[in-house]
Amino acid sequence: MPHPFESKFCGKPTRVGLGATGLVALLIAGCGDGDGPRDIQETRRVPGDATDLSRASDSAHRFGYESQPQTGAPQAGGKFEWQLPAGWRDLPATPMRTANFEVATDVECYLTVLPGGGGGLAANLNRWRRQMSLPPQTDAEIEALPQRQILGDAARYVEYEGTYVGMDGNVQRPRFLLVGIAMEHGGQGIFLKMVGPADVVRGQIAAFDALCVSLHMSTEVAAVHPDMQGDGAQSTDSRATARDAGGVHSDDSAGLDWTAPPGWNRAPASSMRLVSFSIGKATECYVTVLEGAAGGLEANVNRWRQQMGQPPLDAAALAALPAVPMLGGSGRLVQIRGDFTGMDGATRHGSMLIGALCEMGAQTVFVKMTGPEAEVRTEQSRFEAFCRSLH
Amino acid sequence: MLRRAGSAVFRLLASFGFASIVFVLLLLLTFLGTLEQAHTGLYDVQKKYFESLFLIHRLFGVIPIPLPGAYLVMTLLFLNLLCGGIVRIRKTKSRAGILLTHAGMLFMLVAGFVKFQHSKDGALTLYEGESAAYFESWFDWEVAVREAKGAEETTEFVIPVSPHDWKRSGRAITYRSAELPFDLVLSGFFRNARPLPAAGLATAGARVIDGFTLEALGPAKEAEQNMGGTYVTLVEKAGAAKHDGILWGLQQQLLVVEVGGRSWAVDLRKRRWDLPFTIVLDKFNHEMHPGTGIAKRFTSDVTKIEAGASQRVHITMNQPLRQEGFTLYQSSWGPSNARPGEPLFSTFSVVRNPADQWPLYSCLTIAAGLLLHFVRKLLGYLRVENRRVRERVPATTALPVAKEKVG
Repeated sequence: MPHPFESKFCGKPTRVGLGATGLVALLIAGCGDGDGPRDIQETRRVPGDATDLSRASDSAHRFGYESQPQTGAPQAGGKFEWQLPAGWRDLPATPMRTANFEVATDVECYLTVLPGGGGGLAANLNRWRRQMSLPPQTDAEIEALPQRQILGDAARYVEYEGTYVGMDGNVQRPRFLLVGIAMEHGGQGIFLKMVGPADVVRGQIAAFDALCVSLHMSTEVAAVHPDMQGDGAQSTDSRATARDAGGVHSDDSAGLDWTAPPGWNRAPASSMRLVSFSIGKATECYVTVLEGAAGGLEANVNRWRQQMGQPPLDAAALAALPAVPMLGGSGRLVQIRGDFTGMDGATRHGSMLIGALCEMGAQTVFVKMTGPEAEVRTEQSRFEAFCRSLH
Repeated sequence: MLRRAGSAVFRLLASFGFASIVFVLLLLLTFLGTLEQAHTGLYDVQKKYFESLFLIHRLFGVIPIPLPGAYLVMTLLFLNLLCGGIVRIRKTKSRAGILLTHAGMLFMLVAGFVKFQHSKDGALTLYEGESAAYFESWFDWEVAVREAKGAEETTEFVIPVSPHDWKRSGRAITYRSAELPFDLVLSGFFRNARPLPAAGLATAGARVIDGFTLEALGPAKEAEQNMGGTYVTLVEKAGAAKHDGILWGLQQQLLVVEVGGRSWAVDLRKRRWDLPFTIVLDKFNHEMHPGTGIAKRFTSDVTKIEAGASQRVHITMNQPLRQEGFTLYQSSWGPSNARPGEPLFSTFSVVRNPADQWPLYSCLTIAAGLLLHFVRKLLGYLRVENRRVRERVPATTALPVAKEKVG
């Protein structure tokens, strides 16, 4: 028995049929509106609005660009100055954050200044994308990003939406939005980043733009000393540099916050050390902040082991290193006994090195204590307490 | 000649080959649209592949391939079904089920057309204690103008801004009303934009009003996140004085212009449609999965007020409120950064679809048609088999008897 379609529902398409059908289709597609004046045809009765609309607001107010006439306090940004958007709150700066803001609940914004470009725009933007669970962008895609003129230079503007996993991938925050500015200016990488729930962040983008516009440097003195070198890389804290360079100086709380253990005496700072302590007869402890991963855990631990005359650790041994809570995250603790050969080339037998290394995404914080083994051992618990106190 | 052409068109539209082409095209569009959705989002894919007459698909993002849009293809499918499956098919008793099935399919296409042309899709967001008698579009925008009279009721003049207008960025369109002392000129429509201070951030050549300019942004992947913007000029009818301003979807305050000693407020906002009743959110309830910020269940207790009569309704994700052609579903809630104890809002997805239940009726019709056809086929098969068995039984039983006789 033939299929019903086969028996009656068939017929060969003809050229005429195809042409006529196409013509009908084109006629349908060709319909459109003109551009002449149009009458407003829709009206509706609406209740009154008690809001006083009698006085026109300027665009800055209408678009949320209203800001408090407050230039950045030196302790909140070193050489940088800005105007705080309305509703935002200045937070204390940290070594990682030259400026630090509370935007709204669960929304943070901060300015990071990395010497030497901080590894380049692409590396940092793709680091942001990793934090948002997004695949990396190509150089061409980054080149095509929208631009802003900030501090007289072109800055790249990004909006990345995804699942925020934080610096260390320990959180899962879906539907987050990261809005950021990345640029190189005066030999530094400047990164302004706002991140939080997408719906909340969207409402703050105008304020973020206002902050970008207001951002400037009070002097043209570089925020980072160009000669600053430390542990093979550069310190990232502009205020520490300013202090070393004889610029704005404040007490310890203005920089990285910590609680110094009793008996630890503050030693003079240097360009490579954020802070140094002299302990006992021959022990010293200091904190260094380096850009990026600074070579990573393996390279730095084995560099320390090399200084102590010890062979490098393999991956399994590295993975087994104990953790120490610090800087809101977790650092890795290293203890090495041996003959310490310092930067001066002198070898000190029977030494011990205790180090803590904490990767924070844009930067890595090192805390290192070296000295005679017996002295260092007695300071071990205080060293760990010092690490835990860092924030 | 015309008759010949008409006959040829009819034969083409009624052909099985044409139906095959249409189905292959629909399959192709569905496949390509699904792939495209990974990059451009659901809304734009729907517009490009399924609500269009023609489109250009870029194979591997480079090679342009012109294709008919699903709107056109489904129109042709409708004609094909109508010509081949209804008009031309033999109207016999044995074809009743097939005819019914085709009618159901046609009804499904009609339902889709009615929804496409006449449905309204939006959202209503309320904090506890708030009420509203309208809902707002997810995607469409409108410019609303009213006199700023304080608490006094007034007339609002509404200019719908269609997606068609967004495509004509840079072309000015004048809107006028005899009741307004000015004409409105909207120009530079941006589907997704943001205002920027001209100093420092604006690109060269950008139009600057009151120190600000609009920066065009690429479309957001989630289309409802696009934030429209446009330049507006109020041209006074008396004197032709002009007042320029920028309208932006997320503006915190309305644009207020003085014309003839009266203040006029101009707003750009998501398109609003009236509801025939008022919804009051009495209480929003939500329950989280333990230890997470992910909602396990969220529901709303609302009061529906219509003509002075109140009705308490409990709305959940799977238990919508259906009333006078409107359907309110529990959609979402927020704000996402609310601390415990802080007020929350509840968002209802609101759909006004005159053909809301038509797909159900269509499916029932198709099912009835198929059932009729299959039952008829089954009965026919059983009849044939029964006849065959009857014819076979005497033969098989007779054979041994014959052998016995022979033996």
